[in-house]
Amino acid sequence: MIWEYFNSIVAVVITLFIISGVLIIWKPQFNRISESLFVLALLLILSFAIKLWVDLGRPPMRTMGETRLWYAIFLNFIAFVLYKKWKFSWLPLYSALVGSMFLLVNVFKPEIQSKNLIPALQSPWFIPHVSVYIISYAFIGAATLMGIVSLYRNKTVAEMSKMIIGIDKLVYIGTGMLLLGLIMGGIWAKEVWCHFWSWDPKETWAFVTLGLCMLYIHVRKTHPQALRLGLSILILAFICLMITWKGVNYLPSAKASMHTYF
Amino acid sequence: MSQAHFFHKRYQQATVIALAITTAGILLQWIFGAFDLTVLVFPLHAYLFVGILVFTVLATLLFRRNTVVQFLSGGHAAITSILMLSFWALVMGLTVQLRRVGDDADWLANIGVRQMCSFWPFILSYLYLLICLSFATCKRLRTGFHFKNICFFFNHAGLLLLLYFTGFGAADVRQYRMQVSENQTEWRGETDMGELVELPIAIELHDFHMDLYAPKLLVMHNTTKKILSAYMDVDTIQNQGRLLDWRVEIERFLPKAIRTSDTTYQALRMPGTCPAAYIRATHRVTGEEKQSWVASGNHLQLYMTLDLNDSTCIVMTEAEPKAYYSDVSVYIRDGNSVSQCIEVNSPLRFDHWMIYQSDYDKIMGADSITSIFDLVFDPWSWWVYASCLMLSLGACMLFWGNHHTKKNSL
Repeated sequence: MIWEYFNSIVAVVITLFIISGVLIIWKPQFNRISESLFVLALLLILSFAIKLWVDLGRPPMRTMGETRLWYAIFLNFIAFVLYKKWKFSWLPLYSALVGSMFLLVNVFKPEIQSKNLIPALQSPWFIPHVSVYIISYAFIGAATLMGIVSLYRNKTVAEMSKMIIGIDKLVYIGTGMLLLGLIMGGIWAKEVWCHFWSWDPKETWAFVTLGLCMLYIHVRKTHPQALRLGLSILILAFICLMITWKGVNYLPSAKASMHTYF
Repeated sequence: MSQAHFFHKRYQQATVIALAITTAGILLQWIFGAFDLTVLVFPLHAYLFVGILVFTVLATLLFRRNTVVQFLSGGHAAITSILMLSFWALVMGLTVQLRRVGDDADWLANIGVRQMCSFWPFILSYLYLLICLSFATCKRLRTGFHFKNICFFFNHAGLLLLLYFTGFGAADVRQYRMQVSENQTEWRGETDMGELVELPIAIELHDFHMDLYAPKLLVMHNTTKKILSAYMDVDTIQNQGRLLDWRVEIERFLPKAIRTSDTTYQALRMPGTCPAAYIRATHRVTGEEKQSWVASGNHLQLYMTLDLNDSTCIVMTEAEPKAYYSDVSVYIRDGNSVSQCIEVNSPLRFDHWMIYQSDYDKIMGADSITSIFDLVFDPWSWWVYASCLMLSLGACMLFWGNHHTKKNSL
């Protein structure tokens, strides 16, 4: 079973991520090598995910462990693209650390991986709905990462404005994908659970997350000078995102949730 | 007026409106109790919505310099309306929501918070958001059609229509649960209040089928029933695997078996059979060997396990459903009928009705001769799909365009 090799692959991937992230910051003369190492780590973990898909005979998007795996992949992919575009040399290391954390959770808290996909999940909406949501989480996660750094590091006005522009773009894309994921989920829910929306705890928290992302967008448009306020809203949105993704299973309100298989 | 003063004044107005809405909601909750959405059945909710739209258009065209109109179509109203609805949704997310409030309800249930969709402050916040969306859309459309405005329109008008059709349109949605046995026809459905009513639709169940996944093996603690290992598939092609420190070989697998003695099983095709496998477990360190039949059991047969030691054993899980579906004929009173297979994720659409394969007799499992359907009457579903399409286009348009704030405003 492919999960037997997961720990070894994670050890190699994390090592490559950290080494490349450190080299990008402190040894820019070796950028070609360090970027190649980062891409190699990404390809390695992506290959594991694809092999897992083939091995399971179903898309590996059902359990928390599987979604954590995809989140680590997408987050680092987006961070690398942003680094190449905007030259934020710190971004690969930061995203590598966050992504590694999610992979290590899978190592220390391995789940009993059942192959079976229940009838309710056997739908053409399953892959697009889950994957769009994970990608949106990765975009908003990357934006939040940049937002936290922006709040706590001393920056020149020029570099700050460049970072805020980048954060805005990421939030717009992340919010757009959140919306698409929510709409797909609603249409799928109509096909399987009778109603487009039933305020299931997971749906409720997804609504709160989307509301806070929209709040960020409107605050940035209406009060562009209120940077700290906007970034604080973004951090709150990310906290609600994490509750939607993982925390909702631990809330008393989620006992009757139809999303309990996630 | 300076920008700071303007900023401050707008939020004073916003706070007053938010407090007024919340206070009005609390008073209405106290006087009338929970909001009953069914009072807004069509055409009442349509009158309300059209009224809002007509009022918005006229106000935007004729009174665009009016303070209230400017406020409702501006960013401050948008921020407050989003904040208010998100706040109530947050409360909903943090509290256990109830379908019905019993006599032993706590104070949160008594004030209405545990039925947020019927809580007046939530309803008024929802309505306020619809009004703000309406004003914002009208104001923006006055400036002409170009990419940014089209994106704005799809997002805001799409959300407005979606919130209206899913929110207030829900007043016209009817849902019933129907239980039908094989070779029987049923006209009656049960409401969510447990009331049996005769419906304009009948279902005749010809046959109920269920496909099952192969069962799994795992190691369990005898007393605590805690699962101690990962699952091992009962795979007759590979026929071996590992459970903790034990190498497990499947020597024989019977998908449908009946117990013939304390220790043996026999293949048989009849209702009441369960999967059984003869397995050999070898400890990879000590070489200790154990072998026995294991079976998942069901409503007619006890399970059987293989004891590894005093505290742990290998068990076989019950086979999980892969798919279940019903061959039905659906009749309506005007004489029309349709015959189809209804499956999970594949409901039957009939006029404004949708019929879902909802459940089955879980005690009987694959032997079930009863199928349970959910029948939903939703006259607005196609309007919701159209709103979703509009909002999806708007969401896609968010990926492009210059969304960043101008540099000189930082």
